[in-house]
Amino acid sequence: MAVLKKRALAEYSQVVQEEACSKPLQLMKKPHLSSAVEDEHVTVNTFEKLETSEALVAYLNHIQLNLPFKTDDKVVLLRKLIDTYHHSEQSYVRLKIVCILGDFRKVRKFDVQIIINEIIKLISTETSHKVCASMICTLKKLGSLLSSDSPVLGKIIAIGTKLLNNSNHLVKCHCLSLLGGLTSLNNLQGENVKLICKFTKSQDPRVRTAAYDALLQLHDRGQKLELCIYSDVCSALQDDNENVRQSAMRIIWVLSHTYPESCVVIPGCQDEVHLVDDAFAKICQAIGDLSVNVRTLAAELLGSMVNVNPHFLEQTLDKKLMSDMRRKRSAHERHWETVTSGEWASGARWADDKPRENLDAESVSLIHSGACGAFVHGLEDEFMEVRSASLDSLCLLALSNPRFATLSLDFLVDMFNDEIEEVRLKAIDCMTKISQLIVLREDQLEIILGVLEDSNVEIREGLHRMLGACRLSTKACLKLCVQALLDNLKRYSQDKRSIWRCLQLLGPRHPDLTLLLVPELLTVHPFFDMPEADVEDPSYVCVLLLVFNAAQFCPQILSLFEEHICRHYRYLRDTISNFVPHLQLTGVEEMEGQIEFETNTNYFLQNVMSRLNQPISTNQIKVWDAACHDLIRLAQIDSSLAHGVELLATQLECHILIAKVMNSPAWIDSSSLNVQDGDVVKNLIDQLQRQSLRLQYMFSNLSTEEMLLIQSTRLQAMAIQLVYIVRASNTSALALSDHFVSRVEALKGYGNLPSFAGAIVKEIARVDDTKPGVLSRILLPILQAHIYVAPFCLPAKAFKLSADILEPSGESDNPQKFLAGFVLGVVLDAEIQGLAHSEYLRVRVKYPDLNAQLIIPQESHLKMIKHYPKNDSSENIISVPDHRLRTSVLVSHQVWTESSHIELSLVLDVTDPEVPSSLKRWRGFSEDSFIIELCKPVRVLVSPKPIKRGI
Amino acid sequence: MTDIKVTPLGAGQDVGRSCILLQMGGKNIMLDCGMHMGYNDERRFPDFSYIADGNLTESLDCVIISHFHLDHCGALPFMTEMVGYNGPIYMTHPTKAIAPILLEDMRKVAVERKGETNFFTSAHIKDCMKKVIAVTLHQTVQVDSEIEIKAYYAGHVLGAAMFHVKVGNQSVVYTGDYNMTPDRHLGAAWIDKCRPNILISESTYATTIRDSKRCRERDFLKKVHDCVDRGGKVLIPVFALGRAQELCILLETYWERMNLKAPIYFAVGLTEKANNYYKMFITWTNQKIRKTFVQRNMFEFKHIRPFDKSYADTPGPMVVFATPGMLHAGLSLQLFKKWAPNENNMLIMPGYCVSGTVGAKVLSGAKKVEIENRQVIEVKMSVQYMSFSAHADAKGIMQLIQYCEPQNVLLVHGEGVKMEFLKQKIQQEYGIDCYMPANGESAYIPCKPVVPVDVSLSLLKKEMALYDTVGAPDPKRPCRMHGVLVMKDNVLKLMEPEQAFGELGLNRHSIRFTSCIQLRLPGTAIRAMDQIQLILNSQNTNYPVKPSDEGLLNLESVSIKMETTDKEDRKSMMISWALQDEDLATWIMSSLRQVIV
Repeated sequence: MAVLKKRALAEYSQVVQEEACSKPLQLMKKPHLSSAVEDEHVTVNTFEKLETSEALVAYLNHIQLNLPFKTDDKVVLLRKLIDTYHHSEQSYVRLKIVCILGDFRKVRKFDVQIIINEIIKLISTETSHKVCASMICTLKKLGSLLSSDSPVLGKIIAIGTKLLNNSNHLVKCHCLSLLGGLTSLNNLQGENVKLICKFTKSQDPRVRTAAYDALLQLHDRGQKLELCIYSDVCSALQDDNENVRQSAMRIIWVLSHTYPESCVVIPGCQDEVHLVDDAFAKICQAIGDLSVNVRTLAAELLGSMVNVNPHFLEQTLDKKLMSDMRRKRSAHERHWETVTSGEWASGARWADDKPRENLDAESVSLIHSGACGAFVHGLEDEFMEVRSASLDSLCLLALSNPRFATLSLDFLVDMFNDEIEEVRLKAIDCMTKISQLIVLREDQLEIILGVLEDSNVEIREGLHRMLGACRLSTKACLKLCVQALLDNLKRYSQDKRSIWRCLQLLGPRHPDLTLLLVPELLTVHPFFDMPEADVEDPSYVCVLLLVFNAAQFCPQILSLFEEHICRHYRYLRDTISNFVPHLQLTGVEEMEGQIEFETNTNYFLQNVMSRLNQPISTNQIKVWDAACHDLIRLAQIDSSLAHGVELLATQLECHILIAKVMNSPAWIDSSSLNVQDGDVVKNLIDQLQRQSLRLQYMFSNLSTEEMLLIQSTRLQAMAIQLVYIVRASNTSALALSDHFVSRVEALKGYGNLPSFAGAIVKEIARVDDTKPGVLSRILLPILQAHIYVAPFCLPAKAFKLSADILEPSGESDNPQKFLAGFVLGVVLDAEIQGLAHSEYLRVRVKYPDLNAQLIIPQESHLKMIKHYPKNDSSENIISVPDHRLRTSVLVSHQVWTESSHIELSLVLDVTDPEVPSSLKRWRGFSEDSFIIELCKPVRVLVSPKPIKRGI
Repeated sequence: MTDIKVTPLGAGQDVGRSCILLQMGGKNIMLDCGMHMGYNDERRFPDFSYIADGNLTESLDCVIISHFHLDHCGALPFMTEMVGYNGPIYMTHPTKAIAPILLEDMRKVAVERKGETNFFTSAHIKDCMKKVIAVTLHQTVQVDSEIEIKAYYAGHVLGAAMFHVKVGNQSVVYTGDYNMTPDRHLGAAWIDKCRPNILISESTYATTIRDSKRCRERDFLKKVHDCVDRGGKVLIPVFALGRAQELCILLETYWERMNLKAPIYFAVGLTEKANNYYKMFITWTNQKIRKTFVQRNMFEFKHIRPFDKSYADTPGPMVVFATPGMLHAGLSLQLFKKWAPNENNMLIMPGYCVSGTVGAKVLSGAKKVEIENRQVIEVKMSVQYMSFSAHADAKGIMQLIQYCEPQNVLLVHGEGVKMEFLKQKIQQEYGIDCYMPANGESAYIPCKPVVPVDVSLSLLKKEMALYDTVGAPDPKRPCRMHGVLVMKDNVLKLMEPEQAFGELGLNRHSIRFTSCIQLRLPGTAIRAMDQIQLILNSQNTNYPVKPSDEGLLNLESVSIKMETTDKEDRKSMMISWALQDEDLATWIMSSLRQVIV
């Protein structure tokens, strides 16, 4: 029976084999444009030829890319597009067309109103939400181009208001953004703002966010938001969606800046507080938010609320501690008490932090009400974004409130111990910023100085800067500090300069404290002659720098100096003069000499200038030559004038070269060219190029006139080169002339150009054709008219770019060994002053075989050194930021038989801006004519070893 | 059936032996299954006979383990293998990896050192672990057709999780142990606004608000650094897992930062094995470690090396981590004996010590300590206490409540007196109920029954569109929805009337009511109508009054008709309305009566 049943079942069951999927997987092919589309000229008739919608979209893409096209049938194209729109059933085609319509605003001299009217017509029949949203978006973009009283604007806004009732969130969001961006600020504003406000209650969080963002947009455009929305916005801080919370918080922040003084009643009691305080408390609460982004934003916003009641501000650092219902003091408080009572915490007892008084259970509030402890939480947050935003804010608030600065000190010091380096560095920077407002106690200093042992150079140098800017309270502090710095120097000898600078700043800030320490520091004894310290010892130099710099403000120190210290003073004043100030020491006379000297230089300079600006004589070149010599020498002698004088000298050199070229007969006449003359002219032009580039890129901090003068000189140099190439050589100058014209165009906007540039601009504007031949015919007479015309003036504030390689020092005789063909990292540490174009900076490595490599340093390795206000006495306050390049230069070479020197130097590579891309491979320029050297090369001994085989 | 019943078998007003029985929606779920470290008799395990005698599989639907500490998972092999349970057990991946190491270690101590019998065996542990299903963070796991669980990050130790358990419409969040402040190797606990019926939270530090962690860390590092600088030896007794890793990372990074050379040793033990897991579960650690592990895994210690007994007598500075944490036995005690008499050395106790142990004596300041065999040791080394605890403090607990917005809170894992305070605070500040049942005591938490109704999408869209066309959103205006409630197969559905009739095969009838009012109005009927329209328009704004061609006034489904009667100034007004506009019609009638009659 059972078998039978089985059989019966077996018969009825059958295997159905599904046919294997015969369709192969379709691979998306890159849409291929028909040849008609790829045609240079976009013809409007192509639309009819395209059959599939994919091809249509590809074609539309093509149109969009070439939009400001040269064909003049824009209106026809517009018509075609709209026709296509009506015919197309696919919403993505329509979407694309709407995008293109939006891009029509980039087409010059095209009336946007036409497009706006078209879109308004189309929008009423559109069914797809996405297309609709994109239309609104386009309308917004186009509408922003209209003048604020245009009647079309009203139409757009009406459309926007109408479509707010659309069921789709995307359409709603775009409508809100349109209302926010286009609503005129004077009439009817009330209604639209009210409408937007209503949408902050929408059930869709995206719409709510868009509504708040629209309000923010209105605010950005100058509309004053009304106070009455405040309570509603505050309730939005409890919203479930984090984007809504963020936008609401921004609005609260805006309101707190608009109505800081108006009063808000605290719910639950009758007290009134200022709105700014209430808003501050609200934002502080958001530091405990669920979402990281909200927390980060809250921490960022807090920093700009500077006019908050100090009472509220101080609460942010307060967190009531308790343990087992008993009040406990925080470690900071405990520390402070032990310091004030004069007894140091032994730290040996384990109930050291035992709780004190009992707390009343009623009085403890566990959820942080108001601003309580906001920064304590922010600085302890899990995410570094929040922590570092909190630090920034803390620092900003502390800068505006000295009492708060003192309170925040402990927290900043705590942050020195953060696990992430960037945060530690930021904490140190913040401390440096507020160091003007605080006085460091001994216990705090001790903690700070502990960080000097950090192995990271950035941190140590940051700390040096901070110590240089801070104020110390007692003699013991200063001693501690000096001791720690000396230890630091012993450990990390490469910190020498940074420590010197730190001590140089530390001295003048604490002259009286230094006075007390002088005998100890210099080991001066009243009765015994102590052994003379070695003046080459860096740590002894440290001490001397501190004392010398303090002595400027405390003459008593001078009387303590022994004879050998005076000698050391003279030595240091000579070797590291920028660290050592001028002191009125008895028996040191050379100083007087220098003062007399300075008056001389000014007189001398005036002399030279007057000679330069005299009417042109026959041997003008000689006059200039002499002046140039004088100026160069002057720049070497007087450092205070050096930068300006050097600029002048370079400019002068350029003009001497211009005159020399113009006076030589060979430069425009290749026929009479004998080889020697041709070479001379070519050399001169090369030299002129180089000098004019130096002129253009090496100097910064110039006024507009001075800059134009330099530009004019550069233009002259380029003109000469252009004419030379057209006339005297047989290479094409097409690209060069284009480049020249674009340079001239750039100068057009300026008012009173120097005479040469002015003449060129005028002439070029007159002609349409800019072929090299035509150009050179125009240029030649202008050039010849301007050989000797150049008004010279001394740019007093000019700043010359200079670099100083600190490491490698070039003194080492030990070759650095590495395997041939592999790389060796040579540590390069350099200071660069007056770097305006950091993008052109390169490290040049020259190998003994005359190969040279240009290496672009990593952006993160080039750091700007921030300068904090020094005291008024510091000699030359530099307004141009200093840069510090600390990188490792990768060197590699094949095997050498013995070690040899490579040369490292810093250069500017201006090939990019100066050589048009079409000329990149042209041989006409000599190889390094676009490279400007910034410093003397440093020699490093390296030796690539052959790879030993068989190991 | 709508009540949720929570019964702590351990950890009710008590610390240790966490084991909570949760009954909701007809399901029984066990949260944690820990043992008490203080007892050596049967009291150390929860009383499983409370649930059922013998086999537990039928009476329990699942077991959830929050983290690998023994007071949360110690009784698990006992329960599954010796009492008998074959149902599913859930825990996170790291917990599943590390828990057996700890269980095995504990078993060894109990059986081999103390010579206990009737304890579970290694095989038991293995078998037990086979029943475990590992879950990932934020992964929703369907236990059966009704129970759904989801894990959230809890900080505390590697792999610690909070569980959101959902049965039908009711849900419970169980936190296990958690930490709201990040530390050197773990992040802070996080949960979304899941609005559960009950939040079962630990409350170890119910009455404490802690100071910033940075001060403590800095003090710790400075003390160690100073001691090493003067050539001393530092002894840090630790428990095997958890805090030890945090301290290691702390010292390791500090050594790296400060470029220190003194050796750090780590007593080889089970920590070595566990460290491997720490290296693997990088996603469970904090931001810093997660970000940098590609360059270097922070748990690959460069400066920390395994300890060898012979190192104890090497001169020069060193730092040694040694187990056990309370100095009562083992390597830490041996080293202590050797190093205590030298005042250059230092002892740092990173945690709590039970009274009676050497650790506790030393901490209380004893200068002479007697060790087991009457040996007296003079303590000259400096002794430091550094608390590194990873539980949420009172503020943290409140913050978590704020995050997930529960309807009730239930406190476990803490001392009763302290809970009392926190309970009062929770009730005060959030206005929600708070429970704190003792062991074996059941808490019944009433829940409002929720009836879910399915709404067809087309109906929803239709009604939404109606709502949207009216204008800007206005939360004060009620939005009514018209549909037919159909109960079918125990499921409630809201349908469009047409569809419902179609499904049921019924014809649609509609009921209209008509009423007639006698009015005294002069003039013709048309003028009277106009007058009424004016009145209605002035009084209501929401519903537009539309006059129709036949001389009717229409408001929604209400229509008004006026007829002249025999008498000159008397008119009879007929109002007709459909059932759904009953309210509107009543309102119209009453307002017309007020004005006209």
